[in-house]
Amino acid sequence: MDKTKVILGPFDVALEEPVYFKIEPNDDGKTIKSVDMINGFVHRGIESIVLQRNFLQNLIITEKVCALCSNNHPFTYCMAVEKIAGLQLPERAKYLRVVADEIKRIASHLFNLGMLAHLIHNKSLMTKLLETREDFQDLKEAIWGNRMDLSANTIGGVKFDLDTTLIASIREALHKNKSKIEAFIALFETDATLIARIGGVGVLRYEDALKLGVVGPVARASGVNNDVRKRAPYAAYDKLSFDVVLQKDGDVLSRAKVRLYEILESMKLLHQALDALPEGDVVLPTRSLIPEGEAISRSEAPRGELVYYLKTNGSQKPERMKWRVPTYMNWEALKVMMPNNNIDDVALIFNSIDPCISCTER
Amino acid sequence: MKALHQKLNDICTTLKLSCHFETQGDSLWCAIDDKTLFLRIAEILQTLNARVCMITAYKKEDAHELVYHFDLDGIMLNMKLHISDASVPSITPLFKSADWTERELSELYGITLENHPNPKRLFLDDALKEDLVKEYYSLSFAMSGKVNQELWDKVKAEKGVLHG
Repeated sequence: MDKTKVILGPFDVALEEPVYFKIEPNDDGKTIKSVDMINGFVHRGIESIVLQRNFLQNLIITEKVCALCSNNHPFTYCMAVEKIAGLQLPERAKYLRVVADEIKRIASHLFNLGMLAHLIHNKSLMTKLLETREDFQDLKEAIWGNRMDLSANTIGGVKFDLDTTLIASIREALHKNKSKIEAFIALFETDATLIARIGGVGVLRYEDALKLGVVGPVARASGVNNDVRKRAPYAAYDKLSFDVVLQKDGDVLSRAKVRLYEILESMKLLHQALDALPEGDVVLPTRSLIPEGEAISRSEAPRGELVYYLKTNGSQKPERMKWRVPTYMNWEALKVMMPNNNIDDVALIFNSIDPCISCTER
Repeated sequence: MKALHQKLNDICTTLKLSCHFETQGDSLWCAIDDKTLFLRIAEILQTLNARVCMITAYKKEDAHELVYHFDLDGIMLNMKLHISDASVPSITPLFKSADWTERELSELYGITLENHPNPKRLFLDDALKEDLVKEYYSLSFAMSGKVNQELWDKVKAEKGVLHG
């Protein structure tokens, strides 16, 4: 048989973002031999832009690095600034940060699962998943006035507060959707057709996951626990109880299940955070100047570990600021997941790492 | 973290490596400027199952400073390496997790990676030279009067005129 060349891109095959893939099929023309990628189409030099803005302006820039992890960027950035300035946050602010992050995580996971359903042409499942997500989008709109970029964090605390009405609406959304999530889990655990379609696809073994340093649900689906919320707790996570969801098969199905079970954990976290929400300020009353120093901070974004490094020199702009997004670590894993899988499954495997190109390239 | 801190410093003392880790906030830091020593420590960290989270590079006067951020059992270990010849031994053969972040710093700062298994460009098109950021002006800079001043300064510097 002639050498077949399959070219996918420049658009990301699951979400319309630009990245090029070179996929070589095996001689049978049906399965994948190797995969390579070229990126850089949306490299915007944000790490250089942030050096020209002051610390408050950078809250806005960092929020726009990524859409689905948008809350974690200013959150982690704030933690780095707060470490350098030695700020002690009001307790209420720490809990509110958890609330914002977990609502965001639920919506993000549901979106990825919705895309999965879309790629296996299960339109009714996709509709159900995205309808569930819609409740959390509405919740975000009610609390923060926005459905994607929340602008929840600021240096020294948060920019929003929850009154009894809002707390009640969060609880209502959780109550309403818990059984739906449980039904999805039952589906992914028992539905023979679904399991046959996505089980055993795009496997990443434990050893490879460890070696590649993958993060987030991709790592946990292969049994590697590097959930930052547990391993290096921040905000109020050390005071809340939740389980890290681990699976061992490392395939597309496991990654989907990790996300589903994590939604239940997020709901648990939200209930606890609302129950224990301390009274008091939501932000430090005075604004402080940022002294010279350097710090590293990280958080668990929906896609995994997000790391920020900040170096300051006493002026009110950063001297160097660098961050590494979760997807950045997961790209190389595609080279392990893809070979010997069906060409039809490229998009499915690709979507299972929940990639974000614009934040990888910054 | 205390135990890890103690353990790392003990290893360095036993092997007579001139490197000392210090606690700063919730992470460990150390600074070195010897590349051979850096590789030795990287090898030790690999045996301890560390993972490369990120590598930050920045210019410091005429040299570069690289900060290697390792994760070791949930604790961040930050190693600063000072380099003056714009080249650095790659640790990707030891840590697969360093692959992309090394290629990125090589491309953006024109730092040569020694012994990298796949030293291809990461983000910028091949048609663009490495380290080009310092040669070009951004639009916002070019549209302000600043650029004229800088160009004149450059011309004068080339002609050996200092001011005026």
